[in-house]
Amino acid sequence: MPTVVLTGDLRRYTGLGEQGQIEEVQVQALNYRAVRRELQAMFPLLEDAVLDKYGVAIDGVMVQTPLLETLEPDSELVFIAKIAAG
Amino acid sequence: MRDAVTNRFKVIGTRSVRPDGIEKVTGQANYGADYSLPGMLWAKVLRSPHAHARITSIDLSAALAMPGVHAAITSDVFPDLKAGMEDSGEGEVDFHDLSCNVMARDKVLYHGHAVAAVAATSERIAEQALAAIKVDYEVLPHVVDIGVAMAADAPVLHQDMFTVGLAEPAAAPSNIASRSEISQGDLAAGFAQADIIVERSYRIPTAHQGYIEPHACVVSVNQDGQVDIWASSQGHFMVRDYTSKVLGVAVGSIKVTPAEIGGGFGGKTTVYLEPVAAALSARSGRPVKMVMTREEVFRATGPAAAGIVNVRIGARDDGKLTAMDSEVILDAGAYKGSPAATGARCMYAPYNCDNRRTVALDVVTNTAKTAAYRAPGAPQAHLGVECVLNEIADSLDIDPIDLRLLNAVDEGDRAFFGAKYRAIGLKQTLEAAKAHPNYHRPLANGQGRGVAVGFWFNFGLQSSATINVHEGGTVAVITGNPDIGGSRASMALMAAEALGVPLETIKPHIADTESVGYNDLTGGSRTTFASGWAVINAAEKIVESCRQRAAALWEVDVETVSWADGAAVCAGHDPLTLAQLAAKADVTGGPLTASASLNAKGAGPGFAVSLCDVSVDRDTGKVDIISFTALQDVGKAIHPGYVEGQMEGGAVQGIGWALNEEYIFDSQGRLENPGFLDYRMPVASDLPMIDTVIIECPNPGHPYGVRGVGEPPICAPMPAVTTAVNHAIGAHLTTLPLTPERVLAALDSL
Repeated sequence: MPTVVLTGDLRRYTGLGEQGQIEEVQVQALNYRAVRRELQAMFPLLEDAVLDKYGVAIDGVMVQTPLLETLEPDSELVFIAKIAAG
Repeated sequence: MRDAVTNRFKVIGTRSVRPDGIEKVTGQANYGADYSLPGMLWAKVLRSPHAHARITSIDLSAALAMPGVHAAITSDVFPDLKAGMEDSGEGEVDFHDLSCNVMARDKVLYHGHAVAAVAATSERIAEQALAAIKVDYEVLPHVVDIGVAMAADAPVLHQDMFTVGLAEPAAAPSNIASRSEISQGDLAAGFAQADIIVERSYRIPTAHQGYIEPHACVVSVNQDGQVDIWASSQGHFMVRDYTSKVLGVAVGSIKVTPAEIGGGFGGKTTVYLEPVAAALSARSGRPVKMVMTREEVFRATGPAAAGIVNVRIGARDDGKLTAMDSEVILDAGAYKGSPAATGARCMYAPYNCDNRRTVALDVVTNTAKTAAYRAPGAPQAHLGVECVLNEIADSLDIDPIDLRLLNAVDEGDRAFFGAKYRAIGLKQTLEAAKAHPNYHRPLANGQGRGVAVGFWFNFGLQSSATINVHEGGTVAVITGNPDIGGSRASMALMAAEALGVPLETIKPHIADTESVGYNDLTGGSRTTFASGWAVINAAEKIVESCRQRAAALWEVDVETVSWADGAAVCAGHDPLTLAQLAAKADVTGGPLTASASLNAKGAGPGFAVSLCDVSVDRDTGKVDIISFTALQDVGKAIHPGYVEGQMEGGAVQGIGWALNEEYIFDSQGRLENPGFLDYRMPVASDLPMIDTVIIECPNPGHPYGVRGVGEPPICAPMPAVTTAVNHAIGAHLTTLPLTPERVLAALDSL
């Protein structure tokens, strides 16, 4: 099952452990849309408006269009707060 | 992958002549202020004389009555946009705040905040008309220091701003816009394992990007509502989109033509003038030109954030890090949105450590809204961590590079911000630093050395490119990113490589917003990576089309046709060059052209190392940089000369921020040094030659191995310089800039 890494402030919406801690959860999903559905079933506060504020890295690669990506059973998906640059 | 990428190129990696060089050195290139249109008016902005005040009334009538004045506006002409963050490609933007920054609504939030604007037949008349505008203010208490702004009794800028990110909802409005935290492991246990703990608090001043070219634009709105903009920026699609939002008009009614840009460094990633000029043009029926003065640039455009960075790090006797705890507090200026959280994600990125935490606070003050300045937030954050690591190395008597190598991340390690690294070149860069002759040069009395590491994520995002092959074989490569750091050259090199043709046949162009597909702005060190990738994809489409055309001419299966050295090749036939195929385009399918767009994934992070030697005059406190070495993993250097230029530029900007540059405010919140005479940037005579070392660890996420280059070079100089000065004088200075006064005071206190 793919692993989802929830970093930093996402923990506010999951209630897992202390605020800010990085946490991993397993999901039975092989595409990004299914990952979101499963996360939202586990953590109802993780609404679309919350997840939309995060970028996504899949297997170490920052992905701009996660909806087009497929996941492998051993994939790792990380939500990372969006950043601005100069 | 690494050898394959590094060794396979014919054109990439050469130091070609820059395509835009002649136009720029002969003065023929057109920058923002060089554009003029028939019947054009000049516009000027009336700016707030107060750092914080409520606007009780504005009377434009006397200005409008003056001969030569054609239009005058306040913020009333702009729609009142809904507050809230919206995705804008690179990060998020609150367009309500952006609109209020373009022109103040009910309150002015900093000295120099735009209040009204006038368009007239000459600059002089426009300036005279500003004096005729009557504005009544109710002056309010102000705060320009982030430390003071966080106090419970500080003047509050926004009564509707409540700190986001607290464990419990905030009960009262605050100047702290947000708090964010990332943590791993068990901090208390980590510090308990430490043999040494060092804790410091650093202060970083507000610094301006210091681009030579002031903001400038010409805008013409015709009677159909079509808006034409000529402007200097880091992204003309950004100018189009932001202007559309502020004006409340459709994106499709705005066309932006990019001017050459005389420096940006992150400071030209937003709009200040374009919506104002458009509103004035719409009202006057005439084109309107606006050019900021240097003083306006300093007072009213986004400088880099001031900061307070508190760092506590623990390590074992052998140098292994056991715990890292930091607080990054950055100044957003008048509206929320400092890069505190971004800096916090960068500061531990070079290192492994099981127990660590960052807390980032975004704080507003009565100063101009801050903007990006290369790797925004990272230089400030790295200052704290890197200086403390040097202090730990000193205390443990470990070479500071060895300490970093012991803790450095490598492929497969999880970065502090969450993702696992793919191929990265941090260790190679550190090893190159340790082997560099400058690291072994003996130091004299009064001299000191500093080492530091910097990190930046690098970006992908959206890019488009079109390639047109002309009869005769010349190739137009059309992209949509302003050329700030040599992107014309890198686009041309990548096109020549992909097509297999001589570089001289490639003509790179930067098209307006109607003439090429969408491009996110030039920033985040994304253009060579993402726009270059679009160019490669378009070139590969050309190659594929050429193979098909040659197959048709030869009456062979396309699978028997290959492409080599710029020509279609098939056994039994003479090769057909790109020029020959272009000459036959009319009978083989029509014009030889291809476009490609992508939202690029796979940006490879970049690491940089700075080595700095300084000499300190113990009588005057003056610091001289006697040696500076910038080393960086750049992926594949498409044009090594431009890459070195980025590294040198970042080094110089970091040196300036460390030693001289700062905003100085008077008791009324007015900036006292809004010009290059009093805001002291380093010039050539202040600096030694900057030594550069390019490390090439190709990014596996890009077809040519490209990483971003422009951001990491500014991340490490501040801590390297600060450490060098502290070593030279035997002190622990933590407040920047390290002016002669501060250095003397430190010497006196020893």
